[in-house]
Amino acid sequence: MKGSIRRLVASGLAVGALTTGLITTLPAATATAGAATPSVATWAEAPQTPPNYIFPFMGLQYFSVSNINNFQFLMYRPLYWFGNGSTPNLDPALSLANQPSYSNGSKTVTVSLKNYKWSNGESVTATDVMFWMNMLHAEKANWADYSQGALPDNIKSITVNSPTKVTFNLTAPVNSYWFTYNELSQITPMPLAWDVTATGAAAGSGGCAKAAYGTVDTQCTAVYTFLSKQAGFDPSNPKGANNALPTYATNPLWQVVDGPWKLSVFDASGNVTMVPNKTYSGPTKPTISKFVEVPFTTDSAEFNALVSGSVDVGYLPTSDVTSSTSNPTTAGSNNPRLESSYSMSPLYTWSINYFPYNFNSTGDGGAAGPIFKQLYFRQAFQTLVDQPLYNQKIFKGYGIPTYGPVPVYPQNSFVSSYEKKNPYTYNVSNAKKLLSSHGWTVVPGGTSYCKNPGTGKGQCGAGIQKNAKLSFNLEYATGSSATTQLMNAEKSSWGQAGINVNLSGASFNTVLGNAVPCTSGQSCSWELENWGAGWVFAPDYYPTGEAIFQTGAGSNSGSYSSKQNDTNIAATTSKNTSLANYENYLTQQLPVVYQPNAVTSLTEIKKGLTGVTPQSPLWSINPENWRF
Amino acid sequence: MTTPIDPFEAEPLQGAVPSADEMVEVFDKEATAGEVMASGGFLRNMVRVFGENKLAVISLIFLIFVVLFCFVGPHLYHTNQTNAQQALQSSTPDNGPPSRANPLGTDPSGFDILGRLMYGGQISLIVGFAAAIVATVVGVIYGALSGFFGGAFDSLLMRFVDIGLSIPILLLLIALVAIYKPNAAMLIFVIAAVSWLVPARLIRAEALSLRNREYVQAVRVMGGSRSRIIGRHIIPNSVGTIVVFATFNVADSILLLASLGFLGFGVPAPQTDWGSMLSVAVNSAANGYWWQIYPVGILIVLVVVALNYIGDALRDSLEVRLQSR
Amino acid sequence: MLGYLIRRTIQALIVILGVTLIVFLLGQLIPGGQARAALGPKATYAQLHHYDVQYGLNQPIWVQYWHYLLGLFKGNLGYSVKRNQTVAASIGVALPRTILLVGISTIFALIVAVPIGVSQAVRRNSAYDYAMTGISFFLYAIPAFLIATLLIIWFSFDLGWFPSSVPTDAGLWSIFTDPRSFVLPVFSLAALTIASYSRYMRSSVLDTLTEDYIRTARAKGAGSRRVLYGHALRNALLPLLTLIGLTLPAIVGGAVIIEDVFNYPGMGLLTVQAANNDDIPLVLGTTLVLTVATVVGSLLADLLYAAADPRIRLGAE
Repeated sequence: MKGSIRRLVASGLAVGALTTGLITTLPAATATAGAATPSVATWAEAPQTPPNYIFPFMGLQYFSVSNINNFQFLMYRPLYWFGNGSTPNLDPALSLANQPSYSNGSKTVTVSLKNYKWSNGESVTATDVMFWMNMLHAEKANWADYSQGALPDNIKSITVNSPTKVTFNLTAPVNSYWFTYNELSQITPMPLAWDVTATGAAAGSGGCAKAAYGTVDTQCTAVYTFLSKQAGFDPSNPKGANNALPTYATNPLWQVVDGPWKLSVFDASGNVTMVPNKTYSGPTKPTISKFVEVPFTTDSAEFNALVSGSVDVGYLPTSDVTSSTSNPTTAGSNNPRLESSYSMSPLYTWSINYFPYNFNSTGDGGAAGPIFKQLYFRQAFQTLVDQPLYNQKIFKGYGIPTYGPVPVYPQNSFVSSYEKKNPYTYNVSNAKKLLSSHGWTVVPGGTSYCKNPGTGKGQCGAGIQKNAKLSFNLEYATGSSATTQLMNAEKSSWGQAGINVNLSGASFNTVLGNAVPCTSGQSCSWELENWGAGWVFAPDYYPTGEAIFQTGAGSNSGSYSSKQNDTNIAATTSKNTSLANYENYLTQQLPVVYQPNAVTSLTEIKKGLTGVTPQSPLWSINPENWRF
Repeated sequence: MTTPIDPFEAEPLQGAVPSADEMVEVFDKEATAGEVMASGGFLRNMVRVFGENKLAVISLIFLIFVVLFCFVGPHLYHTNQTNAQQALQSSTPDNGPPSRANPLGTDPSGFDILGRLMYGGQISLIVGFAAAIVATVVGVIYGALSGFFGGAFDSLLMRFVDIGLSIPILLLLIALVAIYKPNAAMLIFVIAAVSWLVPARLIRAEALSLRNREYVQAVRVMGGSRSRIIGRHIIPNSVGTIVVFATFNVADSILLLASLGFLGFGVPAPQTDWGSMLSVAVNSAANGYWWQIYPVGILIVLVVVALNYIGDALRDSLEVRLQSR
Repeated sequence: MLGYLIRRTIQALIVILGVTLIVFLLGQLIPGGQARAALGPKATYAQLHHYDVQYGLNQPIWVQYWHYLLGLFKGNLGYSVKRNQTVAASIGVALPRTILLVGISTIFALIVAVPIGVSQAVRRNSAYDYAMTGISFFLYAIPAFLIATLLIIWFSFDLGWFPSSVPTDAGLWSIFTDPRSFVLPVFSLAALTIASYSRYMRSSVLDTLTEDYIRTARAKGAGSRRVLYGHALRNALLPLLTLIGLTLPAIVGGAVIIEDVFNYPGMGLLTVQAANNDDIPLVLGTTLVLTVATVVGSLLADLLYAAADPRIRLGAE
């Protein structure tokens, strides 16, 4: 009996051992393709963001960097290209047209197109621009970047003067920077081959392109519906089954390109292969034979791919950053496992990071809103946010502070010296003094309360009762350990002046869903909501802030309202004034809590591959510049 | 990882909804009926068998030590565990290896790990025990009522339990935690919400069998109220099963909390639990910060193993059949 | 037997229906709404409202649930905006992978656990028994992600024998063509169930060995081996079927973590990603499919058990 049992056990364990033995002697799988031949470049997509929409005229749900800057722009060039070197400026070399000229008191804009060609032999003409504008006129409700009063509402008429010249007549004068950077930036010329309502129909048969502006809404709607369905979105039945993704690479419509690349392989998981477009008319033609985008499910999967060398351009996950840098714009030491084969280049986005106060909040026993409305409180609150420390310690030096509504970095000509100097440097005693000189009893480590209510000098302010507490709820988006660390550090810091902030975590979308503007009177209990991402200025590249800070703006979550600010903003969009007044005012007035802005990505570039840097702060990639 | 039905139970008939007769048959073999309970020798028997199990005794002593470590420790060994600003500003390095100042090194925020083990342990233990208690209480009442009344009422109640048991626990937890904000108190209820299903099933089976016993029928004939029967006979006779289940459930709850913490759904910072400590450390496994992984990992495993040994010993001491070795 | 079969199947159907309701309601409860989740922070009120109308989100809940159920009958599991493809398409790719992972892990665990459990029962209370119990306890106590991490550290970083994640372009059958990268995930998942299966086998064989009919067989002079293989083992194995059926939800839950750590592109990873992305239709779809799979699995296990156990088969209802 004992023998048989032993045999039983032995056989059980032996099977286990045998399997292991077999497997360890098997050869390892070959590395993923891409590292083999030197003229194929492999690029790592950020996790969970495979490209999933190919038609440039899309709704906000598809409006993402992975779809636009990393996918569509490679094939279908926008009218004007933004991101010049490492600045966010207009790049005339990569634009399809020359710089627009403004006349007639800035009410007329003339655009002269260059001689770009589509891959099917068509030229990129003014009619292609009209095609887009007609479609926009008909389907603005389905356009990602539409907001009331902006394009196309501010267009009175458009005229096609010649195949290379188109003139826009506007309803009111505009600031030229604003109109070029935020309005014209939305236009992507479309080929006549797309002006169809059925597969195989003759180019232009849809009747949307070659027509006077705004007169062909019905036809444009039909063309829009057809093209959207080809891309996988049915406007009349969006939840219906429509698996168009596998057809992207084979559909002849999408093969008509004016950019340097055309699609050769595409699958639903995010594997994308592009090959050079031989008829590309731009200044730099691609030299590599294939450009491959590889999807990853998680950061660690991508990191492993870097370690094994199967990716040429990737990113270093934040959890694998091993050493810090003293200057955010230059890379410090690379991760030791990548040191020998990759060089690192930090990429910052053209964005600001902040979270809003709810100025109409009914929280803290009704005192939250009134307290937030007091400038001295916001100043004390901001003064306790030690941005340099957090950038250095939490982001390991790879972080840029936000001092005002215009990004201080990447280098740009829009930021003012007042903002760059930061009027609210970290100072605990200043913060305490601000509170105590306005009627508050400061309780460091505890909760400060209002000792001297009233609206006079040295008193707390309107709507604040005696003994009102400085105690607030801050809900922030979890998911990033750095954000959690940051929130905790700030909480401890605010506590030094007795400002008691209760943190609670929730998902990104929950926070967004709660941070909605509410009108006074309506129950509005949220006080502070932080989704951790602030505002990215794309495609509104000129940071005028009418979407964020203007009274009643849709993304003005906290209902900040200031007549002075509204006047400033109007001047920046409709008159040719610079951003300085608007910017300085909001830097001083603190309509939101400015937060440090971490690096977007520490790009890892395989040694031997040039042309990847300088990286565009708008996240566009230009593989046509890459050379091995 | 937790299982809905604990395989450490001896009854091989779990699974297909057994008929009442089957359950009575099974439990009759156990012969742990109320008659023995009444004499009190039962309890003494349990303690004696428990004491004979050296591993269980060692585990119990170890657990007591851990509790002292977590709750008394911070008073003897002071560290900053909550002030993140101070931790950043201090000169202690982040991710620092063990040193004189920090015997177990520091974590990415600069907090001392030995102190964090104590601080996190408080949360892990409190949530673990509290969730188990809540789950047991709710499950026992639910199961007792369901089993006692039987019939369509019982079928309906057990249907809910079946539905709950069918959804993989982690998926349900992820969904629940994603919707509700996960502070420590919420986590107790969320974990209890997925754990009460098993004791409900167990106690319902016991109630089904016990309700047909002669002495229960006698009580009914004598006019005893339902609540009296449930409260004075059914539940006390299931105490053994309840206690065993609760012990295992503490271990399971600690593991569940650890898994949630690992996925990022645990207690919000600066509070921490052992699982959340591991979530931070796992990411830096490749960077060699072993002091962030092994101490807390070993501690979790030892505590759960200790609880399992105790539960096993309790179960053994209930098994009259196996007592006659 | 037929009555049992029918009754059990109806139970399963009711459970499935209940699950769709729970999962659907959970999806509705997320604050902020699906429009906000899809469109992001820059959406204007007009765009949010437009989205709601387009996607039928402004209809009453019961109408939405009814359409959802109707769609299910037609095989339409919903449409994921975030991925711009049907939920069924995403699941179709991931589900076979998870089934393969869970299947292979379970088989592996059984091959290892059954002999160990049996041997433990036969040599009860020996040093060997205590040692194996101790190992089982440890395995049972280690959280899934810790096992996975330790295995990665030891076998992938330190020894370099196996890769720490599955290649991104791994096809469905890569687990057989390139098994090296699948060793650690299978081991990690199996480690958890080995502990519980061997413990269960031990209890089950122990119980069977003390049954009356075993004593009868022994008294009649049957040899130990005949007793063991002929009677005890066969009867002890049966409940294992039920155990497998019962632990399926837990194994699937463990697979979620293992898939996450090893980037194995199965249902678990898909669900976690969808939950993080607030991709509601996809979360509903994967939870429903996974739950249906476990309900079906458990049903099959129960039916197999019923078919094998004469007490139930011959109608002791």
